[in-house]
Amino acid sequence: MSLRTILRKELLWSRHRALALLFVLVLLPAAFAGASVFFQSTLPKDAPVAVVVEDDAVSGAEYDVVAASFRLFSKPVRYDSEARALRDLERETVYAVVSVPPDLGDPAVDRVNMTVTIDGDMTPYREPSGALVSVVSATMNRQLDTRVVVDREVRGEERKLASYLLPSFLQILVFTFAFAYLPYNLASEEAVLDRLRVETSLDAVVAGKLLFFTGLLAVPLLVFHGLGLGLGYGVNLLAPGAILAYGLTFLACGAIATAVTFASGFGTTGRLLNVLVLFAFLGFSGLVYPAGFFSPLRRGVVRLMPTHYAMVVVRGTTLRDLPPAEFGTWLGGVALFALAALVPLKLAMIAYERGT
Amino acid sequence: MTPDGQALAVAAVAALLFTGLGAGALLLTADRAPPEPYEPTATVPAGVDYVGTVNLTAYRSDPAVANGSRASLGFQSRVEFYAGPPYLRSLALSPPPNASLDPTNASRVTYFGRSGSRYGARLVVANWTGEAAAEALESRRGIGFTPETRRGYTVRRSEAGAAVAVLDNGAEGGPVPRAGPRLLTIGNASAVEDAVDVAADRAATDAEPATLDGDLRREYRETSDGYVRFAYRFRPSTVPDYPFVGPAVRTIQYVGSSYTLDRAGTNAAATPAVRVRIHITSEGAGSADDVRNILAAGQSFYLLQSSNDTLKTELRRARFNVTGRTVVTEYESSPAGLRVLVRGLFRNQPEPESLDPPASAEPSSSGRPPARGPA
Repeated sequence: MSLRTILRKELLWSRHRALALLFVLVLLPAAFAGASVFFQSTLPKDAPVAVVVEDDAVSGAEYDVVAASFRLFSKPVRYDSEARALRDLERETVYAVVSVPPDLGDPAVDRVNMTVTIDGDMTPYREPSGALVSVVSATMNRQLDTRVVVDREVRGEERKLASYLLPSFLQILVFTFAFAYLPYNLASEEAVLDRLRVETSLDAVVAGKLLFFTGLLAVPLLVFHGLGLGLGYGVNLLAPGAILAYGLTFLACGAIATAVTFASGFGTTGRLLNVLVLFAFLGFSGLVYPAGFFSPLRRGVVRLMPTHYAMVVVRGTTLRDLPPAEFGTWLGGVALFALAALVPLKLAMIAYERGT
Repeated sequence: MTPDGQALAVAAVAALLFTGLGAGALLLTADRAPPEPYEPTATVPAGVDYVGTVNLTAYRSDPAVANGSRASLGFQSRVEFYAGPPYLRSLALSPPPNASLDPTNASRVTYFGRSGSRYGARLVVANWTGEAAAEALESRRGIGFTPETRRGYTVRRSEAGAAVAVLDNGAEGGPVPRAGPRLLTIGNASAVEDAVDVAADRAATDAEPATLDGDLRREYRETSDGYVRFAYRFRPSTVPDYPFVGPAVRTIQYVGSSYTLDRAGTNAAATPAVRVRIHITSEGAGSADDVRNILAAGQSFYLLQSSNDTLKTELRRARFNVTGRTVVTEYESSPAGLRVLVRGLFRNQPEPESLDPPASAEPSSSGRPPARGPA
């Protein structure tokens, strides 16, 4: 067979798979190129920080000055209670707590101490927060007559990046399992599905598969946990809240992936679409960096993703040993998301059954 | 013919005569289009980095307004965030009055030029002759001017680099569409020659004048109105590094400002407030947010530290809004407080390279030392 003949064959092959090629050569590159707009800065310029007054002696103008100083590099959020601000620090709603001291505007006072508290477990924010504090300190001292000493206080253990990343990597595995392995497994069993439908319903078959794969997650969970223990990371991946969050995440993502697989008739396009969705979840679930690390746009998207809250629950329960009840609302939200994901799955299955 | 008939005939002839004269006058006035308003930038050459106009009639309408505006603009011109367009420094420059040249006679001045270059001139609408303007400069600088002809216009040039030309001799039909005031251009010889070329092209029917265009023209037009209007292309190299937001400040591309008078709520004798509106156009919406945050931080710092209650009230009313990639800054002040207000609003910006007041003998873009009033 000559090269010309082979090339002609390839061309004919391309015509038959125009949709898949369109997806791979146009849609996928466009999605990746388009995603670049969500990444504007390499520093957490838009990370929310809580600004709370130390006592009633702090004036509105003093509060405004501190908030304005941080607004250049963060997104200050006003808090009335330090306790609530610190609770939100643990829940990653904010990434630092700034206490506004009194007397900032009093020329008779020579020196004022201001405290910026960060969470030691939020490893990617630790170093940038040091730079942020020094810049804020320099800005305030340049502008104010009173000398301002900004102290950075780290709450809890200063966790190393390796142990910080362990729960995130497991979440990445959960996503990959849901959007890559599950669709592959479904496609390979397409013929079997039709036979099983004779004896039982498609709903039961799919539900059984989703539950089985969710159970299978126990294996990588144990592997991660064991390795974490062996490496001395001090991460409790078997925390009930984390297990629940991982499980709900898989159910939700698995339902979406299965819906796409059925809707595409188990075709290549469906698998490619699942890969695209996988990248979207990986990129916008705030798995590693704080929300607001790259851009306000990305922060907005991350805060809309239920899987981001699942990740925060996992970090809160595995790294900080917080009880799952602390995240009850968020876990409920992720559960609702998983339930909602069953709707497109059911619709896709109905369409599949009618088509076959 | 009876006496009555004669009187009737004379009256009829007189009536016909007056009717004819009236109709003729009516026809003459009806055929003439109303004079177009003077477009200050129409004679500004293309390829400039800044353009600004000052309506001197409004500027001089109140001494406090003139002093406040000059001080405010002078401060802004020295702050590197605004790249310090040299024409604003030269706002304080003026040919000295002499027997035939009265600075207070000028009604409008337009500045143009290029940043970081001596290229620059002003277009002055005044009842000045070219000779009087050149004489005033000669008496000031001790330099001589030699008349040359360029495309039908007389350009008086000096070896020091300055030049003077009359673009409109006050006759109707020139760039200033009414009889009386002349349009002169005074400044660097290259800039003056370019202005002469634009005027010559405008006068010719078959030539297209290369006048102010592009984004700078758009930025200038967006200042919409005001007795002071200016726009200039930002020169990012003048901004030093500033942690986190430095790159955003360096992405500023155009700045435009307008100063308007607000007489609302005041009687005719009272000094009007000055309303300032500044457009700062940056590369993108993100950097515009950063610029807004810098300005807002300056406002907060000043509010905390100022002990002047009037100023605090004015500061609280200052607004910084982001529209797309443009920050619109608006504030209003009494003329007396304007300079202080502007200084406060911009105090948190990147450290200017020089805030020293311009030296008293600092030459302008046209190579002349400063004097007292505008134009």
